[in-house]
Amino acid sequence: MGSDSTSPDASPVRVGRADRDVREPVQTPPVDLYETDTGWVLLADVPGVGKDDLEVEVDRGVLTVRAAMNSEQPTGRPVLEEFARADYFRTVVLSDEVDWERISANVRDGVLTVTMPKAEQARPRRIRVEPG
Amino acid sequence: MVRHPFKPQSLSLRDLQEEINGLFDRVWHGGIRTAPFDGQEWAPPVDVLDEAERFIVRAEVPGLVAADFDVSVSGNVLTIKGNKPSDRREEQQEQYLRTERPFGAFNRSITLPVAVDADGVQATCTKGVLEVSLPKQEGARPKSVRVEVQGGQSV
Repeated sequence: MGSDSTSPDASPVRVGRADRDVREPVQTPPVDLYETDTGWVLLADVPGVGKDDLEVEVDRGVLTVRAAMNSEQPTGRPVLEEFARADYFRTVVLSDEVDWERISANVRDGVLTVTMPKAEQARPRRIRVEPG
Repeated sequence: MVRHPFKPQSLSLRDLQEEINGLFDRVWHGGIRTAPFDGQEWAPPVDVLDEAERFIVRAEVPGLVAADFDVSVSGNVLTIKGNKPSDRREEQQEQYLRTERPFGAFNRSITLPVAVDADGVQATCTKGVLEVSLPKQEGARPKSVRVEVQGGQSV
């Protein structure tokens, strides 16, 4: 770990996972995260999730995505069960380089897209104080 | 890519936990699920339900729509073929910070416990879940027979 600037976690957008504070079982959806000129885009595979099942919130610099799995009771006898029966949950740690106010989310065909615009350059920036 | 990280100033046990979880996730999403399927890049997870008159087969196929599948039935074997093309952009290659989502062609065959009526099979795909309904063949449906229980004297 340390300060390797090529490590994904050194970017202004850090993808986290099921938080230790979440007690009920959750599943971590696979994500892609890429940077564009104007911001960052997070894609998450969340099959079975529609707009109404989705909660996206930003609190103290942490973006939380939570999506309810279809919880309807099975109508027959399960022969094969490979689906994880748990809500999707993923956190993303944001820095001040992200304009938290303008984050938008959309879900289509079971793929969630979260668009995180870069903050204006004029925005005050925290200065990192180097040790020594 | 030079970037001035806005990292937390100290590492905590929680950071370590996240790193470890991340490792497990990468291994998990990278292949364990898809490994048994003879060299395919991935294969969608499948649920099968046995209802009295039919089977319901569901497959998790995020990003795909109905036209992306080739669904066929032969006897009691359902085959789902499809291709999930990568939506990653070549020109963005170095800008990817995470690449966990699986892509590629897949081909899954599911053997059902009894024969199904191939003409009555229907498939729909919504919200990234493919659902196939397969009516059982007439002779394969459960017959309900009431059995009279002869009681002796209770002791």
